[in-house]
Amino acid sequence: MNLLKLSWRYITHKPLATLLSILLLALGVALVSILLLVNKQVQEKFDKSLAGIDLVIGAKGSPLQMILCSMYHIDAPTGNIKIKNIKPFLNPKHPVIEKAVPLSLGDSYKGFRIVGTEHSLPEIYQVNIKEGKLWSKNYEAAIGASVARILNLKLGDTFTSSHGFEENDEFVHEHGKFTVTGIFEESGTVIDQLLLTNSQSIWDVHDHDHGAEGENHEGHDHHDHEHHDHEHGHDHEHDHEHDHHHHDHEPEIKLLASYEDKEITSLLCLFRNNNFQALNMARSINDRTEMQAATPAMELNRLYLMMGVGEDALRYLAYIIIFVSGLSVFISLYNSLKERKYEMSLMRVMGASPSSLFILTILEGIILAFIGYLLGILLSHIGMSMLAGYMQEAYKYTFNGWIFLKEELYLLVGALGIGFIAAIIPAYQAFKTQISDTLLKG
Amino acid sequence: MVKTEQLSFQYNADNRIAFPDINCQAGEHWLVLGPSGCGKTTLLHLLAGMRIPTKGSVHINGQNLKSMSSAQRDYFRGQNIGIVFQKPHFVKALNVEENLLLTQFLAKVKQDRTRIKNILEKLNLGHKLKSRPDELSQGEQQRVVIARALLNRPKVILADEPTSALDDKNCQYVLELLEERAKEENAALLIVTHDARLKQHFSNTIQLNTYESA
Repeated sequence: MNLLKLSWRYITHKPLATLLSILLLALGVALVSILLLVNKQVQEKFDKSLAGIDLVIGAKGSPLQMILCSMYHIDAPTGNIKIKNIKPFLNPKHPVIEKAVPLSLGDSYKGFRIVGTEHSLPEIYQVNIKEGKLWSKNYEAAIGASVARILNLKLGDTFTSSHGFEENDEFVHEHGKFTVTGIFEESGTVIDQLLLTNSQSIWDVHDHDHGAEGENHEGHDHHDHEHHDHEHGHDHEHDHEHDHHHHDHEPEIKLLASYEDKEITSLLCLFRNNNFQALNMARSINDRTEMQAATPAMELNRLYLMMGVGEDALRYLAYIIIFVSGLSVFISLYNSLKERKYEMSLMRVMGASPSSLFILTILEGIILAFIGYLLGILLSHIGMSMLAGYMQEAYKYTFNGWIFLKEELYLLVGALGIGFIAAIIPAYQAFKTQISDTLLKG
Repeated sequence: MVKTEQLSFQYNADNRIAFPDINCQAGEHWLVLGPSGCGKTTLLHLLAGMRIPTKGSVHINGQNLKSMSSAQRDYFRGQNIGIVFQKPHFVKALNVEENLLLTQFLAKVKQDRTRIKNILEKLNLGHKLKSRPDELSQGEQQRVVIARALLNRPKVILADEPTSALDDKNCQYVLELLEERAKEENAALLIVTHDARLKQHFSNTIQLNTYESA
């Protein structure tokens, strides 16, 4: 027998009375903890996928939607932009833009997005190929680590794309089988969940497909509806004004700029310097063209700010629940103290010091808080893994419910603190227990 | 073993109780008899060091209780004095065995399950080891209280009305138990009661009268 065991017996002696306190605290802790977990993991994913991108250029619409679509592959595209309109930005000698990465979106394979782009995309995310190599011709694809793992795709495997982002057998493009030539390393960035190929393959699929597709595809992002010749890569068609690109070591950019009439979804730009000129460029795109330019950092801040309101409300609710749970611990201890008056003075008679009765009561509060905390953390992680399953299902983002944060330790300290504070008045009452007065009456 | 001199206690200005001197040797059994309200329980509390006398002194085993700090007194009581209260109080959240373990723990005596089992068996309670106190009959509860008072091998056993709630048969039984066990442990036994049935058993009797007003 010791004080810890005794206070445990006191707790288990009246399980119903303590259940409420524990549940309340668990709810509060779970709410705070899951907010922390979601926030941390979402921000981490988002920040990792920023990849130093300074500006995104795409079709006019909601800038946030464009960012979410182009960088995080969550939302639908705002529309398409013509290559002839972005030609200047593709110039490697552009005074402001150091790197411009084109994206062609709109197709997917089993819910994972296929992105028509260039080798520079994995480059800016600093993701390397783990197996195989990047694509070098049409219908070759390098795929993210999560895609490979979840769909069990290996080098040399083939897949056919389907139109739109949802898994839908009806809209499978008959033409064109993609071959997996490379698998990326796991990076925690958005690359993990993408299938990358060149833009030409995407156009090609749609060109061949176009006749076969019905009219009920409205709202989907069609890349190229105009019937023009299906032959690509004919160098003789190049405008001579682009000849200065030819010496460049990146043949794909040269190629892309030459498809003047083709369209892409957006262009990710990295600046040489984030100076006034860069700022002006974004403004003039927005003012003078049918395109829009948006800064990812700014749009993300806007998003965080919007989410922040709801998050704050939830957090305050959690604090209130935790406060009430503290109150409930206090009330339950205070009430049981009245019933234990005789027991307390009995213990004093048997040699217990006032301070050991104080500790006994404090321990009870702290044990309750600890159980509530454990239950809360368990709840929040179960909740997080359920959420992770949903996020995986809906957005192909992989989250982990069983990652633990050091903030959860702070939460432990907080919970134990609540237990301690709630117990302090009852403990002081226990401390003051007189030996004989109560027994005399009994 | 238990020795008092000029003992008196004052609750308030006009309510003072004076007690006759007691000198109870080890192994002796004493009865303190008196009507209700004469201060019997107060005397018991004074002897156990649960109250401090206004005047006079209590010596237990040669040590003056008044000269100790309150923490020392608590410790001393746990080690040397076994108390049987009028009403059997237990820690309700604990079973019989755990209640007795608690007694050893609080007195800072080694926790000894064999000792607990033995003592309960001697009191015919061996099978009640894991029972909760409120599952026991009143007689059984009283016997557990006696077991608890004897558990730490005290030098003095103080009993406050141990028999008043019991019928003649049980009264006899409890009394014999107390005397027998006290003898076995060679402890001084001091029973405070208004129960005249006990008088014939004891050679050493102190009669308390209605308290004297100062």
